[in-house]
Amino acid sequence: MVYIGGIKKKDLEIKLETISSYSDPSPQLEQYSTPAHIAADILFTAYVNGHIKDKIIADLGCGTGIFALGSAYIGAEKVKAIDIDEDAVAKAKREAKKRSLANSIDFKIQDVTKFRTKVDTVIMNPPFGSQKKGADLPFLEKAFKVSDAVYSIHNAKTVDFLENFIKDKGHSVFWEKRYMFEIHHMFEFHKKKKEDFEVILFGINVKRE
Amino acid sequence: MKESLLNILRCPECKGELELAVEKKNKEIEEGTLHCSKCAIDYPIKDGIPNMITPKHR
Repeated sequence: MVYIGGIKKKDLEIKLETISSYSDPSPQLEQYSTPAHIAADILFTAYVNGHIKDKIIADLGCGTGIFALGSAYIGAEKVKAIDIDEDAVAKAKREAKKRSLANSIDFKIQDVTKFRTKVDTVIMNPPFGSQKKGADLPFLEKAFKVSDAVYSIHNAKTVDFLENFIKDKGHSVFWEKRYMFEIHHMFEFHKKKKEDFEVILFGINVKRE
Repeated sequence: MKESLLNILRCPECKGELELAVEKKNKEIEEGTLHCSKCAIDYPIKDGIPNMITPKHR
């Protein structure tokens, strides 16, 4: 049995599964919710690496807050959850209140590029850049500026480019893991009912200047 | 929003400090406004969540 922060990994997954997803997802913002079992696995990875317990976490582009709530569940000292979408943040906050986690999470409606709080760890699922090429890069750049460790999910097709992008900035990838996202037909431009979409998780050690 | 957050919140335009006006407070500030006097911008706090997006981007 795998325990993290006093709860079973499977139980964390179940708690995360009941977070409601976007009611009216925006294609421009590429609001795809992270599946609960993948979020739980990523949180588990960050936890065993010592990047969550008693740490300050930021979830940049938090959406409905799966990483923010998940981090709070397993013992983060404080979580900063920001998103540009007012409705998503309000929803995330409601979920946090319902689960008595609101005290450890600060929610803010904010453009990621304006975020300036120093944190220990960033855990995020930025836009994949399939609607707007490179849309994930400002999220990564911001994460490098404000944290010591970053866990971030990207389109697996861009892995080579991103590895170079990270290395060029002087940071190092210590963890890579591929997952399949099942993307259901949500937007008019989706041709299939559902489609498997391969993503890659990067765990990045940020080099401080 | 917790009142202690005021110390770290800055105007996203000029990075200046913000003045807080509270309309409704329970354990935390539920409704109110963060005002930047330099830029003359109000950032509303609604349901405890500060909206730090400048009006032209809202």
